[in-house]
Amino acid sequence: MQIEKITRQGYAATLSKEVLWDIYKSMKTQRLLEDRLLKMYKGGQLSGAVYPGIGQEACMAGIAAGMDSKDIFGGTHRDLGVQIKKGVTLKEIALNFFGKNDGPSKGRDGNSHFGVVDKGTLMVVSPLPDSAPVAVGWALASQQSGTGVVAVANCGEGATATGTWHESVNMAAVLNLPVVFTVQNNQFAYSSPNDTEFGTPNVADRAAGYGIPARIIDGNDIYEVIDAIHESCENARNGNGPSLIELVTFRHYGHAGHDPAEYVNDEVREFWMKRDPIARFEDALLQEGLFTTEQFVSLSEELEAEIKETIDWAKNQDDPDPKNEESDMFADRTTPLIENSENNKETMNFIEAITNGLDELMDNDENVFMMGEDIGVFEGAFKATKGLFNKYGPFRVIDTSISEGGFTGAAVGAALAGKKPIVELQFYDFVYPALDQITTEAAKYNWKAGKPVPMVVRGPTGAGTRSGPFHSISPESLLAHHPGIKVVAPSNPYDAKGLLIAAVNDPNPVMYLEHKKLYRKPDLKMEVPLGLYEVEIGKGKIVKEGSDLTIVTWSGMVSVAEQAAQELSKDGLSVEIIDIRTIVPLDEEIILNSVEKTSNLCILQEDVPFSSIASEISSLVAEKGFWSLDNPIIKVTPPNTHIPFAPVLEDAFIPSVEKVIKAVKELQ
Amino acid sequence: MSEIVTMPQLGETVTEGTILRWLVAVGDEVKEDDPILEISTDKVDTEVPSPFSGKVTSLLVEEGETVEVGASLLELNGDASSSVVDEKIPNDIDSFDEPTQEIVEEIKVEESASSPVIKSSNIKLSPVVRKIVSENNLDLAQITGTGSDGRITRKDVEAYMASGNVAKKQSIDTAVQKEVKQKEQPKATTGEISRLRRRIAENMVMSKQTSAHVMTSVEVDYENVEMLRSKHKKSFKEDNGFSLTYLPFISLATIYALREHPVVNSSFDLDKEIHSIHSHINLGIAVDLNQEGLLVGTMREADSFSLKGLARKISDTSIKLREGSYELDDVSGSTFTISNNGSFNSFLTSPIINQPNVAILSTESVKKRPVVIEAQDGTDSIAIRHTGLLSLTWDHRVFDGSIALLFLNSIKEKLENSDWSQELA
Repeated sequence: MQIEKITRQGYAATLSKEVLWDIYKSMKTQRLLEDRLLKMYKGGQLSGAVYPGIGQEACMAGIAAGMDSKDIFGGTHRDLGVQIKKGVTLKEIALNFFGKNDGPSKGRDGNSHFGVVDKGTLMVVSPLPDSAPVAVGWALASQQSGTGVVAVANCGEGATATGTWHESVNMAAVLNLPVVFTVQNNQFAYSSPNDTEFGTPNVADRAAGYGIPARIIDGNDIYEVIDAIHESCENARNGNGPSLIELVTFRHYGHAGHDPAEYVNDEVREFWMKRDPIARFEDALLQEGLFTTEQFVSLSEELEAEIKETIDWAKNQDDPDPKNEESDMFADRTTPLIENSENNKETMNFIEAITNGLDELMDNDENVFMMGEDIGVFEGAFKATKGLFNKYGPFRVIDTSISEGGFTGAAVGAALAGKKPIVELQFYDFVYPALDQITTEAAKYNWKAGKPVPMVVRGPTGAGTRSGPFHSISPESLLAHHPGIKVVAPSNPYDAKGLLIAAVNDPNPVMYLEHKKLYRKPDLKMEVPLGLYEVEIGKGKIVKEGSDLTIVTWSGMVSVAEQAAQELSKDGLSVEIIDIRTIVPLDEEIILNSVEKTSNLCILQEDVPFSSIASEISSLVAEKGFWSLDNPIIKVTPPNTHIPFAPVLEDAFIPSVEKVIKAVKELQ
Repeated sequence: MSEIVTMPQLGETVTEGTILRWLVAVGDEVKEDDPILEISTDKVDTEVPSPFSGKVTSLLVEEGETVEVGASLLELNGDASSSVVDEKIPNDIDSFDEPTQEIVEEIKVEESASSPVIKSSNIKLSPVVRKIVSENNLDLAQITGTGSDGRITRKDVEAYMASGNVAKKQSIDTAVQKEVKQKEQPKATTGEISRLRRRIAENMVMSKQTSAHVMTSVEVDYENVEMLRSKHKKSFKEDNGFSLTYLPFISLATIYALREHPVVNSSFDLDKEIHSIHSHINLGIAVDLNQEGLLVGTMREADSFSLKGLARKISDTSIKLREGSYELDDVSGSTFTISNNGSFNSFLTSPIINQPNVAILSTESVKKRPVVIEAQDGTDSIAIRHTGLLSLTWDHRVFDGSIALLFLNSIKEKLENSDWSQELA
């Protein structure tokens, strides 16, 4: 078979013999390893799956070789070659494939779904290209701090059809971030050919839509890949913004070990086999007289032996202990809670307390920054960022495109890079497009990759402003159902500031819910200390002591509970009100202690009832506080519907003082 | 054709009863009037006769269960040949006022308690009430439920415990057992406590824990009564078939004194802050059941009786109670009680108030004693007279010593000075 020749040019031409041998070795390692794994999989020796990148070795090794060692790579399950070239060891890979305790994901994910952040590879997840916005966020942190780190966001051509990819490229372009988007176009998204995935002849054609440069290169020419990647990385590093590189290539096997790839016809296969990247590289190295065939054969033998030995070793390593199933869900906070040491106080309403908190956080720590729609010049839809753009500038109070998924994912990347990002959702109803990033990336990082993600997603929640079904949700249960994220929902200015500061200082992703009806509620104004102080996350508060009935509530419903308690006291009923303040982690103790005292429980929430926090608390008390109960548990909630617009409907939807009183009296 | 036997109304104030024991089983043939089950109410344990003949095909309630009057108890698949069970129960006593409600409540609680406290299937107890009752070994019978449908709430239990009148099931049992042991000293035995004994024990302790008992007594010169009594003794017995004792005289004098001091004829509920002065006098007479228990027989509207009528009523009530042929209304609803301890030759007694009364009068033995008599001219002489003490235990929560003594002296004055000769003519 005639092999198409490749020749060194540009940056590739400057590489030493040793560097070239190293690149060749990593390509060969990938191929032999994946070949071995594929055989083991087919022989029933390996659980899970194998996603061989055989045929794409030049893309992977070339991407890694074109990057600086400090640069960060966000890729896919088919990028083992990049990981190998970035320094991830065979042992690490083998341990992950066997789900072993000491592997990069501690057995929490298998095969090639892992990253080693310290070696410059982001955690690999299955929804693609979910690491793209994370890479963009890392680049954002780099831009802010001037570290000169470039992020490479890689995916296959199929994943470019997603909104996530679009948002990532668009954001990077708008913010002029040091990102190189690489697309390994291996002709098939699983089984689907290019023309079923995008309407332009090439992926690279779409770069024009983002206003960024792009090029199409031969992904099976190691020299061209190295040169292109290096050039794009250096451009980005020098402040010239992102670019797109489409690496045209071909995978020799199916999407995964179980896929025979019968959708590939012989003609196509033959065309690409002539362009096998390793054969071409070997040919070029021989032509240059740098290495001999014997050296290639000898390296293969050494690598095969090492791979076999490593796999045998990995098989016998410790499995993870199911006893540790629940560990690493959250990173432990290591710094002490900040007590309020300032005597200066100022009367603030709810939103002023939030703005004050944001200001002091940004003033105190330059790693704190904000992202969101219209939060800069316009100072936010509700003016939560009032004065902050003028004080801290466009690099720390960042106006984003309408890309909730994009900028939330970027917050993950920035957090991994050492920043403390605060994302503002204009309305918490718009969390849906961001949920993928929150749950796939933010919630799983510490658990699966051992890297905490200190970020805050804040925004207005709740009904009562005649804003209809898309500006009114109470997302507590929606968020809380996902393990790995914290959820706080303050009810007054003091707690709002204290919890905000605690949220930003928490090493974990915290969803910070601001009930918009509280923002400027006149009777909620109170004295709030100036200076940093924290309200501990996970601690509820007894708002009012009582002996006959406990009302557990939070956020906008606390004042409803207080009014109801006042009315009920006229009938001689002494109501205790617990403001849980934090949904996750829930302060079970304060609830159970109160129910032990009163024996009667009413849970009041604005969120819809089915599968909700009220259900959760009810379940908690039924399980752990059963012997304290003197009556069935009451839940006062809206109906299980969407939030309606018509004032008469919305008023009927939101739990009222009267509804609480009626429910309690029916019980008595 | 099948017939259903329903829960009879064992007195007009009864709304429910507890099935104590089935006397028949499914498959048994029963004849009309055959006893089929035992039912328990406040102080009455009674057998229910079958209103029909037939074969028992189904028992619809379990032993220990408390059901409402009219609830289906048993199914007979036989010929219906008799009247309904309600006709067995005479309802010939007119309704009376305030005590009704109190009695109904009392009965409810008693019946509830007759089944095992925690296991009872038809008392709804919340988890926390079950826990507190179980941990403190409380007797539910002592706790009044204020929740919906009379359910005992945590507050009720706590109020009860805070009242300081906590009757622990265990401690009562122990006390009674001790008493039993002492009685039967020659042969030390242990045995189960009878239902009646248990009720008495519980009621006595409950009363002691409820009222502020004070005992006051006066000495009465019965010479006036004795003269009448000895004069009519013989003819009275011949006419009526029973002896004329001091008790009808004391009862009548008491009734008159109660009219003068209606506060003594009242009920007092501190928890509910209700003090009920009763319009009628339902006079309770403690009847000893031949040393096997004590019941208070009630003579409803006793203030409408003559001396003779009263004497007859007292006699009839005693017989009924001793024979066990009484209805619930015969042993409930008293507004004031007399305990005739004199008949057992007492000198002075301090009786326990029969709740929810506020006082109880104890008659003491009448004996000939030397008495100093002062003549109109101021000269003293010693005479032999029939005298005896009358002692009153009264509830100091409700009234004070002055009323107790005015009341006692009113009885004394009537016994010593009334001319009742016409009554016996």
